[in-house]
Amino acid sequence: MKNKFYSHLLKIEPIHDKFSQIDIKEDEKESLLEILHSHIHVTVIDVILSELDEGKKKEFLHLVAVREDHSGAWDFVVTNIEQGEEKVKAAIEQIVKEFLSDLEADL
Amino acid sequence: MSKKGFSYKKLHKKWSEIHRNQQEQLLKKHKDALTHLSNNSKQYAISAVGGLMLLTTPVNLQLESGNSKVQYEKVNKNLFLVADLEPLIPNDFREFTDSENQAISKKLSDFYGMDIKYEIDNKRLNTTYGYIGAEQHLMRYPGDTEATHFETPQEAEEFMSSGLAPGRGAWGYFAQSKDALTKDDIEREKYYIAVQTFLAPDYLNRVGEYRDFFKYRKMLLVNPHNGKAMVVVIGDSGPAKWTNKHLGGSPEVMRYLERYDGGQKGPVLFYFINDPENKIPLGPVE
Repeated sequence: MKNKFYSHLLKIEPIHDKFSQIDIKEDEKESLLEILHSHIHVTVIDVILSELDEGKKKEFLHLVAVREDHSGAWDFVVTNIEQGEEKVKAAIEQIVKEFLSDLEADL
Repeated sequence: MSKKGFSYKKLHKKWSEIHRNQQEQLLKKHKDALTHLSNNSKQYAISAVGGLMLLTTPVNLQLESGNSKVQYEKVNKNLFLVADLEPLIPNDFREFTDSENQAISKKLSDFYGMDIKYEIDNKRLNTTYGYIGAEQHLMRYPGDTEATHFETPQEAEEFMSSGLAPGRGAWGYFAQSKDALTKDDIEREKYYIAVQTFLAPDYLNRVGEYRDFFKYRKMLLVNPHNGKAMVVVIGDSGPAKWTNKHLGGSPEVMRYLERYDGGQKGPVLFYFINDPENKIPLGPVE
């Protein structure tokens, strides 16, 4: 998985642990993780953009999508969004929690 | 210790849907900023995906394991169309007015680079927006059966269960014999729709004119909820008015557009493609 500006908040070890306990093919596991990572990414972007005005949104998108400046993007989040880190962290944790819950429900 | 089994397909399907919905929400909520980025970034212009590509990681939306094809470009481009169409389609289900048809056909023309029309030479269908139902395969030539119909075992496995209609389509057989069957005939049957030709304006006074016009007329079919589109031909007439459906799609069409019959039925847009030189191929629009 490519490094992201929020990678330091990404804790998905419980999901890897759960995968190790179930009968799942390697390509299936990769496919599910791909969706999970992509979903987290889109959600994090949404959480951040929802806190910004139009001008700041464009500024942030430029940092992430054009310059791919992860460090700059994270600085931007904590500087421009009140409790930005907490909001991003909470969004990621909620997704991981729901994914784990679905994984367990399907066992 | 033996490992526990679980339903991969079910989980994959659920989270693909969740993710797709989230992508749509992102686009709707922040469209101006994303479009600005799309229009002003050299990288975006080169990638030609028009938007979210650099914001999203690839997503495999195939349900079957081992058949992983990354589809993020297509998915993301489609989402832009979904967002663009949403304000053009009325919330209440009804036939479109001419001005609505003009706006939608222009949007589709611009997006797909085709000449999309709701009327050609004063000929049109009863509607351009309707509920689609599932049709069966059509016999392509005398003696075509389920055993001869499919080109590959994989096709047979995927589509045989839809069955073969006992009668011929409105235009008869696609070819007069198996030997006379061409690639065009095969594709016409594979990518066909049935439309209510008999409900076209002034149909009874213009039967011959309309019959020639509708026969294998090329059309663009779009699922406005996911942006998937397919170039198809009018291969049959129907369904009956009492079914409360407005057109039917071949098994291949229904599968690609992700439309289902019965309680889960959904609407599609269907417009003529003005392609006098027959340059636009049938099948999914990638």
